[in-house]
Amino acid sequence: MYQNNEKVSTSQMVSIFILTIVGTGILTLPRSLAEAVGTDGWIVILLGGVITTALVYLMSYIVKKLPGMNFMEILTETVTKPVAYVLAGVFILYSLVLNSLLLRIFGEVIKMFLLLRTPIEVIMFSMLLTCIYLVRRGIETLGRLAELLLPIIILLNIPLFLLTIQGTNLSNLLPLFQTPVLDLIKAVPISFFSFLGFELILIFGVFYNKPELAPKSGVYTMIMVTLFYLFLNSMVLASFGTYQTRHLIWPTLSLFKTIEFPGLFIENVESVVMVVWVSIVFMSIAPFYLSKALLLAQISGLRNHNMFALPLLPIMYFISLYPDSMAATYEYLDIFTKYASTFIAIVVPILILMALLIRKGFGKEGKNA
Amino acid sequence: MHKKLLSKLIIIFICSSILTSCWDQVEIDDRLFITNMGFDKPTEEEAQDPLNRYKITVGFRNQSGGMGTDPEVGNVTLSTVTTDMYTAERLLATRTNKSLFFGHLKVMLIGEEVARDELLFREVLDAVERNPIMSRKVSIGIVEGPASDALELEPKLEGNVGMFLADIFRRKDRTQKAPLIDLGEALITLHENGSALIPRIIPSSEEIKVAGAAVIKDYKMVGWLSATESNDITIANGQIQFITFAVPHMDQVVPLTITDGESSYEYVETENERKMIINIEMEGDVEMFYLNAKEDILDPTFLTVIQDHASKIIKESMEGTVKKLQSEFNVDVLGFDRYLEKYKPRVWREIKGDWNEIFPTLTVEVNVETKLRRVGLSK
Amino acid sequence: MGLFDKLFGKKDKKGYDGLKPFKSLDKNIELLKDAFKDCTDIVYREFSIGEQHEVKAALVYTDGLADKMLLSKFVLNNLMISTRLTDNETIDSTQQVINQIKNKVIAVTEMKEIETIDEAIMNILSGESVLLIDQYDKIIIVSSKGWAARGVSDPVTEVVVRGSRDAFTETFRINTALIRRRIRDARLKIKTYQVGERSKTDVAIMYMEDIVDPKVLIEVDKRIKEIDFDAIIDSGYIEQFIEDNWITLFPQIQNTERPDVSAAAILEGRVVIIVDNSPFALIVPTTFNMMMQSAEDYYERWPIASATRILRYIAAFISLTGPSLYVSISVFHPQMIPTKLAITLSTNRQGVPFPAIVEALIMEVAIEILREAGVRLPKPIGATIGIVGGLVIGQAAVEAGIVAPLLVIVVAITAISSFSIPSYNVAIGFRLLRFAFIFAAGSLGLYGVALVSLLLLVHLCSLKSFGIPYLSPFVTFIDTFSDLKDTLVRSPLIAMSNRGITARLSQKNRMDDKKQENFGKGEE
Repeated sequence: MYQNNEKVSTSQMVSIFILTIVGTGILTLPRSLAEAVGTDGWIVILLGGVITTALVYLMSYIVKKLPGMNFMEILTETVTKPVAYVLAGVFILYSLVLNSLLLRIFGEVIKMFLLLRTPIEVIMFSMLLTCIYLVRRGIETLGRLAELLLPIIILLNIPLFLLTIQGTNLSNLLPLFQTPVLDLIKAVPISFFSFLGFELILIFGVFYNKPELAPKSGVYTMIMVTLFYLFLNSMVLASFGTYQTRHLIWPTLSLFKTIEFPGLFIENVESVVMVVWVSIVFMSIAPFYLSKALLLAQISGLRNHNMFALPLLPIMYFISLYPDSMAATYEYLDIFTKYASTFIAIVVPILILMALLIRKGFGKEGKNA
Repeated sequence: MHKKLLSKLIIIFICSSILTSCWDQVEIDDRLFITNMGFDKPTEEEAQDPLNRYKITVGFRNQSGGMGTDPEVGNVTLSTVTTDMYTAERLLATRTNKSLFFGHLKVMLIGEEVARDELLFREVLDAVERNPIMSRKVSIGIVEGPASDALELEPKLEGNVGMFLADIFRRKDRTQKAPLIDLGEALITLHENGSALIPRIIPSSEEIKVAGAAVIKDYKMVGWLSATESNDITIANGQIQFITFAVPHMDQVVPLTITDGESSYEYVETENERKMIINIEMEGDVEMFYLNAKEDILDPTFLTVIQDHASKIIKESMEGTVKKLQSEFNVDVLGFDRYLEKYKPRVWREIKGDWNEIFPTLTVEVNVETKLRRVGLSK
Repeated sequence: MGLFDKLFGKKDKKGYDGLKPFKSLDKNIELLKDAFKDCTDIVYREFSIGEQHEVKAALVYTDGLADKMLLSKFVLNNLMISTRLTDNETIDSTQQVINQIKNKVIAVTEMKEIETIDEAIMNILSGESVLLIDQYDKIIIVSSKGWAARGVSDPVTEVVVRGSRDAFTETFRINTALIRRRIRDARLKIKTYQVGERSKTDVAIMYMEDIVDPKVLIEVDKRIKEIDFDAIIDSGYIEQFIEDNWITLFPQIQNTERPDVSAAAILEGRVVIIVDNSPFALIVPTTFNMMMQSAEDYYERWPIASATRILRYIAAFISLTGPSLYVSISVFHPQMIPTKLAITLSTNRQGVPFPAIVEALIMEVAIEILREAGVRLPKPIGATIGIVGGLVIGQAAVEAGIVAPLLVIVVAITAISSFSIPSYNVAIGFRLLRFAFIFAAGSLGLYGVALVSLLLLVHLCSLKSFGIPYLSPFVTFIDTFSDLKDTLVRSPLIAMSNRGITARLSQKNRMDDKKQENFGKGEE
C-alpha cells in the first residue's frame, strides 16, 4: 500500500519546472541580450516567453489528452513504434549533450569562484554522484525536493536582490525601442535557450496527479519564469548599464559582487550566492538526468529506472570534459541548441499533435460512417 | 549487484577525496590578506628590461605574533618590478612564507605615470575586473607621484594603513572634495565612453589627503581637477551630500552645509546652437553667523538673499568647470552623452559619431536653486 | 521423535496448547507444577471450601506479582471462613458450590473463567491468580495484579516549564489510564496485542475511532502482528520493527514520556502505541516537524512559541553545520569573513600545528566523549562536568596552542544548539551527520557542504512514515497550506481550526464555528 505510487502533485510539478528552467539560462542571459539588442532585452524575453508558453501549452495539452501514458507510449500511440524508438533515442542524446555541457559550465563557474585549484573533474564528478542519488530515489522525491527548495531559494534571493537595489540607476534601462524589429526577432533564440527545460513536460507527463490541470499549471510556470527573467535582466541592466554588461561574462554573479551592506557580517556575498546557485543547478541537472534514465527504462521495457542511473555517469562525464575551454563550450552549446532544441521542443510536439488530430479526425469519421 | 558496485565506488571515491583532495586547502594563518596595492612605473634602469613594466607594491598588516601580542612592525609593504600583477604575486610569494590573498583587497592606488600611459592603465583595470576574487567595491585612486609613497606611509590615527585608506575612501557622506567612487563604478563609466573621474591622492610625509580628481579621457589621464572643480562635477552628476562652502555677505561669511539635492539635465536645440541646461536644486542648513546678529536669521527675505548668493557662487563655479572640461580636456564626464542616449535617442543617433567635436561647442547653462531649511539652535 | 527431529526439528514448545484442565484437582495441580518446575516463586495454596459438603480447591499465584492482601482478604477469607459461617443446607452438589462461589462468595472486582491450561499459565505469570476447584473442568481466574511499581512522577527527558508533570510509568494499565483521563470520549479505543514469543508483552494501540485514518490503522495492526521476536524489552524494539526505513539516521516514529502529548496526538488522528514495561509511548505517523515541537508550545502564548520554534530550527541548522562552516570558510573561502576579523583570526592562529579540519575533528570528538560521560555520572556531578569540562578544556587547549580560539566558540555553540532540539533521537542523528559535513567541508569547502546538504535533503524527502511524507507539511504545502500554521510559527489557537494531515479528511474541523470570532481584544 505504501509503495511509491509515482504521482506528483501539480504544485510539485510547477516547482520542478521552474527550477529546471531557471537553472539553464540565468547566468548569461543578460549579457547575450545586451550584446544583441542593448536595452530592449525585455522585449526579446517577452517574445521568447510567449513562444515557449505556446509550446508548453501544446505539450501539456498532449499530456491532458493522453493521461497516464509515458513518453514511449505517447509516441507509439501517435507516430508508430519505429519512429517512437528513433525519437526517444534522439531525445536521450539531446538530453545527454545538453546536460553535460551545462554541467561543464557549472563546473567552470564553481572552480572560478569557490575552488580555484580543485580539478574540474572532481567538481563535476561529485555533482553527478549527488544527482545519481536523487535519480535513484525517483520522481516523487524530486517533486518534494523541488517544492521544498523553491520557497527557500526565493526567500534567500529576495534580500540579495534588495541589497543590490541601492546600486541601481533605473535610467540605465532607457532608451527603449531603439532596436530594429529584425534584430529583435533574430535575438529570440537567445532567450529561447534560457527557457529550455520545458521539453521535459512530455516525459514527466505520466506523473501528473491531475493531468487535466497540466495546461494551466504549465502556463503558470512559464509566466513565473518569464517574470523572473524580466526582473533579473532589469536589475542587471539597471546596475551596470548596457556597456558594462556586454563586457561581463556572467553578469548575474558580478551583480552580487557589488553588494555592500555596512554591518553585514559576510564580506563577499557572492560566496553565499554560490551555495544557493549550486542547488539551483542541481535542480536543473537532476531532472534531465532522471528523464534520461526513465526513457532508457521505457525503451528497454524495464520497470525500474534505477539501474540506468549509474552507467550514464561516465558518458556524461566524458562529454562534459570534451570541450577544451569555456569558449568552446559556449560555442558547442550555441550550435547544439540551435538545431537540437528546435527539433525537440518544436517539431516533436507538433508531430504528436498532428498525429493526435489526425487520429481524432479518423475516429470521428469512423463514428459517423 | 549494482548496489554493491555502486557503494564500493562511492566509498572509494569518498575515501580518496577526503584523504587527498585538499587542493584548495590553505589554512587561514598561511594566508596574507593584501589590503592595498599600488601600481607605478619602474625607474629608468629597471625599465631597461622590457619585461619590467610595473613596479607593484602590496601592503598588508603583519600577521605574525600570536594571540594578544602585537608585532613590532604593524604594516608591511613589499614591492617588486615585473610584467604584471600575477607574476608579481608569484615573485612576492618567494619572498614571504605565506600565500598572498587578494580577496580582501580594499584600495588600489595608481601612480600618475601609469595613469598617463594608456596601455598600462587599461591593463591594470582589466586585471582587476577579470579577477573573480577581487570585489568590485575596491576603492581606486590616482596618486600625485608614485603610488608607493602613499602606501608606505604610517598613518597616526590607525595602525593598519590598508584599513585607513579604505575608510578614507568610504567617507562619501563626510566629504565631497573628491569624487569617491569604487572600481565598479569607474569601470562602468570607462566602458561607456572611455572617460572617468578618479579621486586624487596627495601623500605627504605624515598624512594622506584625498582631494580633487584625475580626468581620464580615452583610457588615459589627461589632467587634474581641483577639489572645487571635482565637487562641481559630482554635484552635476547628482551626488549632492554634505557640501560645505562659505557665502560672503557684506563683511560676513556665512558657511552653509548642503545636505541634499537633485540635478537634472535638459537639452534644447535651436537652429544655431545646441544647449544643455543643468538644473540643480540644493537644500541645506546655515551653520554659522555671528553672535547677536543684527539681521534676523529667521527672516525669509534674509535667507533668500543668502540663498541667491549661494546659488550664484555654485553657478559660476560650475560654468567655469564645464568650460574647462570642454576646452582644456574635451572630455564628457558630466554624463551628457548618456543623457542624450537615454532621453533623446534620435538626436543621439545623429550626433554620436561627432560627439568629440560637438561637445566643446555645446552651450551650457547652469541654473541653481538653493533652499536653506534649518539654521541651528539660536537666532 | 527421531534423531533427525531432535537435531533439526523446530524447537518444541511444551505442548500445553489447547490442553483442557482435568476434572481432578490433583491432576491439574500436577500439570501446573510440571510446567512451573523449578519456579520457586509460584505458590500453590490448597484448601477446602465448605463445611458440610467439602470441596477441595487450590489457589495458584506468583509471589511478587499478585496482591497477597487481596487474595487473603477477599478470596481465601471468603472461601474458607465465610462459607463455613453461612447456613448451607442448599449446598448439595459440586455444581451448586461452584455457582455459589462464582456469584456470591468471591468479592473481587474482576473474575473470569477459562478453559485451557496455557491460558492459565499466562494468567499466573501476569499476576492473576488461578482458582482450581475439584471436579470442575474450568479454571477460575481472579484478578489480583499488584506489584511494586514506580509511582507517577516527573518526566525525565521532556521537561516543560508549564504543563502537566505526570509521565508514563512501566505499568501498562496506569499508562492507558493516564491517557483515558484526558480524553473522556467513548470513541477512544484501546486494542491490545501480545507481542514477543517469550515475553508476551502487552502492547496496546490507542486511537480515536472516527478521526484516525483507517489506512494507518490497518497498517499499524498489520505490522505489529508481523513482529516475530523472542522478547520485547522496551518500546524501542517495537519502534525498530515497525518503522518504514530502519537504515536511516532519522526516526520515523516519535516517542514520548508525556501523556498530554499522547492525548493531543490521538486527537490529531494519530495512533499511540503503549508497551508494557516501558515508560515511553510511541506515536505514529510522525513527520520531522512534529519532532521539532515541544508540548510547551501549545500552552504558552503564540508569539513566544513561534519565536522559540524558529529558534529551534536555526539551532538545528547550526548544530548540523557549525564546525563545517568554520572549516570551509576559514580554509577555503576567507574572502567571506570581514577583513578585520580575518586578520585577527590569522594572527591568533599562528603556531597552531593542525590543519583546521583536524582541529575541528579533535574538538568534536572530545565534546562527544564529554557528553557521553556526562550521561552516566550521577546528577549533580554530571551537569558540572559538562559545563566545567567544556570551558576548562577548551581554554586549556587554546593556551596549549592546539586549537584556535574561534573554534572553541564554534564547537561550544554547536554543542549547545544540539541540546535545544526537543527530540533526543533527532539530535543524535544530527550529531553523527555533523561529521559527514566536516569531512565534506574539509575536502571541497562550501561546495562540499552544499552537496552534502543536498544529499541530506534528498534523503529526507524520500522518507515516509506510514504513508505520510516525512517532511510534511513543507513538501505538500500548497495542497495542505493550513498545516503550515503549525510549523515554523505556532498560530493562535483560534486560527487552528483544522486538524493536520494525519487526520481523516472528513473530520478535519475541530472547532465549532457557532461562536462569533472576536479575537479576544478585551471588553468593549
